[in-house]
Amino acid sequence: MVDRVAHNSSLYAAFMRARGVESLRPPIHKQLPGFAVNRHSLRKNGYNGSILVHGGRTLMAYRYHPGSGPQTKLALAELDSLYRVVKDRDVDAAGASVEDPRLFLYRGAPWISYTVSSGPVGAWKCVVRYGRLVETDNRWVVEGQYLLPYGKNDETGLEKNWVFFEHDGKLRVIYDHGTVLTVEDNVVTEQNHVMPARWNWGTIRGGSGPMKWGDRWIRFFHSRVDTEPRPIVWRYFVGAMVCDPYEATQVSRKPILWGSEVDAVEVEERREIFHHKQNVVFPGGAIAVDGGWLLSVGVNDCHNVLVKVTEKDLNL
Amino acid sequence: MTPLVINLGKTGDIVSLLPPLRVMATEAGERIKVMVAKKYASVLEGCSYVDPVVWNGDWLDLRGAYDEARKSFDQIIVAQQAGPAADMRELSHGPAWPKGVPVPKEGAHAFEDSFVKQAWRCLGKQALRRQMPPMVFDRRDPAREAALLEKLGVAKKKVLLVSCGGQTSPFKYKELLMHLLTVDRDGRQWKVIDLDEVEAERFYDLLGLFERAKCLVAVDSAPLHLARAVPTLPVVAIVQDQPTAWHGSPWQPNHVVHCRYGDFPERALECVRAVEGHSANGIRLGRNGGRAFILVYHGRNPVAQVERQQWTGNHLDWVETECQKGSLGRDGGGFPFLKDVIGMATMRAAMNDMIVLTRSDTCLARVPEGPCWSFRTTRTANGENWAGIVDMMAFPRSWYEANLAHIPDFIMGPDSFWSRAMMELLKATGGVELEGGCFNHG
Repeated sequence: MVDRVAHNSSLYAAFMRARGVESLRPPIHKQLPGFAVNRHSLRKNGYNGSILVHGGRTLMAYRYHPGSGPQTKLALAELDSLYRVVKDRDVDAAGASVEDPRLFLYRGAPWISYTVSSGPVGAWKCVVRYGRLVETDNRWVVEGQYLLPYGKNDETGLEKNWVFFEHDGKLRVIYDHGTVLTVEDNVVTEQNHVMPARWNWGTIRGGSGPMKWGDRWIRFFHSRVDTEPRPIVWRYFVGAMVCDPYEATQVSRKPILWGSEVDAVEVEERREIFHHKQNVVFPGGAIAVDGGWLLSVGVNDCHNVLVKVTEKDLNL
Repeated sequence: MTPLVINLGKTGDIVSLLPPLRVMATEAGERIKVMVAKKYASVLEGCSYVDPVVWNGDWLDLRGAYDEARKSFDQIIVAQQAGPAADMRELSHGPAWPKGVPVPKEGAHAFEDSFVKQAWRCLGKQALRRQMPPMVFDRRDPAREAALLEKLGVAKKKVLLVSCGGQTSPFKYKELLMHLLTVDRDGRQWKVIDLDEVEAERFYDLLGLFERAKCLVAVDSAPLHLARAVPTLPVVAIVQDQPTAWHGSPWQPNHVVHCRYGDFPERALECVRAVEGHSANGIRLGRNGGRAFILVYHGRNPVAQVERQQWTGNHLDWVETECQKGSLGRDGGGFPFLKDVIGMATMRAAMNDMIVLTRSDTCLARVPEGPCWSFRTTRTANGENWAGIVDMMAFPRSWYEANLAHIPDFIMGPDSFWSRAMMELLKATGGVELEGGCFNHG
């Protein structure tokens, strides 16, 4: 009896190899005008960067693996006008594994939200914490490290991908793409249930906070579909939505970016990165620039890319 | 000097070899000599391109016939597929075994997945099958054919031909099949003719009747092979699968149903309903210069079928080719091989006809204009969901012929490997993604 899967997967691998086909889509930095932030100027193989401009400075928070395990810590780099790393320091945030930072402005100061994971591998629990960033001589400190009591943000579940932003002087949280919270003194004072946006490439998650765009708002998000051939299975996507800023009024008709099997890291080096994961694109932040936006995305869990997105690229 | 071809019998096997024999005769510019057993020789009177050499012995005495032939012929091809195993290996299958392919320990046996295809391989004409060379009887007798029609009284009725009495491949559900075919049939409109009861002076005199018929329901028998000579006649083919599927006749483009003997109990009603379920005009084959879409899919889904018909509308002429269980000889663990499936479409398609390869539950939303593919979109009450699964590929037959050698021998199963590879090949040869080209219902 023929083993169909083995038969086909073997032929497929040989076919793709012979044709030099490595990926369904080009690497992220070639899908739209973009470039990889110099990995060698950051903590080793840092990724999932979130970009913010504050006080004339361009900051990018990201995560990295200090050791050989799955746990990560946060760091924050300062970039010059050409987006080169000029300073790179740790972010003090407690937790077994601190992940996926998102920078936002609140009351004129830089704040950060992030995920803290704990527990045994395979049985992780995640919570979201946030606080104001305070710069010291040699590091950044997260003041408060607040744990908002909402949902399963009590280490009984997997809370992640919350998006914090300021609107009308108040702190808001996009909890999921159908619920926006208002927070005062670390208490949820309002829940706005909005019509979830229609998007065909998986559930809308996380992304960047809403930014003013004329009389509208715009933000970017990611999603994931698990229909790829084994062994990879998943593929991430990035889309954009115009919002008010709570409810989407327009969403990209198709993805702006597709996760790719390949990236800016050389093949030989990729093999050395134990946390490398193909087909991942993770938008952590965005800033307005001339002619559009600069979106910071984590790529394949091993580096950061900044891509220039114009209105035409939004696919609205 | 053309070789002598040995194919002693029976009638069906001889008839199934006529298309490549005619090609050989055309190539050689002379008639092909074919050794046949005396009992079956008369069928060759209907063909000008064949010169029968009569063997007076038993049709299964292959060795005897071969030894006799060697007295007079230097070049001999044994195309017969029935006989003692040792003789078959030495005389028929061995010489036809492909060069460079390791020979099994027990000796060369049939390389193809059906005895008919193997016989063509013995002639060196296996590649011709997809070109569909016609089966031609160019010495028909119109007077005999007319007399037969008169005798059967078929003047004003729709004719349903039935052949259930295969001798080499007896069919054990004959009574059931006959009952199902006649029980609800309005005798005022239909004339059901049991070909086992028809006496024709020559076997090929049945052709006039075949051309008059609306449908033929045939088990693995000589009439099933003869139906190839009338490509527009819809055929419900019920074919042998014992001791192996090799012993059954292969799918032909005019088979609206191709059912194995062992699957008949499960598919009996499908066979019977197909008599009236096909186009009233018979099988439509590809047309040069036309835009006939040949749709190949796996299985049957009535909803998708209806939506496809609505999609194609009146300005497109298309033919749906169903890749049914058991219709393809090679078995990939319960699934067909991709090239065997596409091969079915090429047997109905002209070079500039589009072949659309899709799944049974896929509906088509946009018309493919050239080589292209579409990813899956599932429509639900809550919206649409994209999936990284290629659910539709389309290409003209000419594209397939040009790229056939580059397509690995995939099994067409529920995994994504084969469809992704086809997509990459389409991409590399100028094909494009047809966004939103297809969908299914969640």
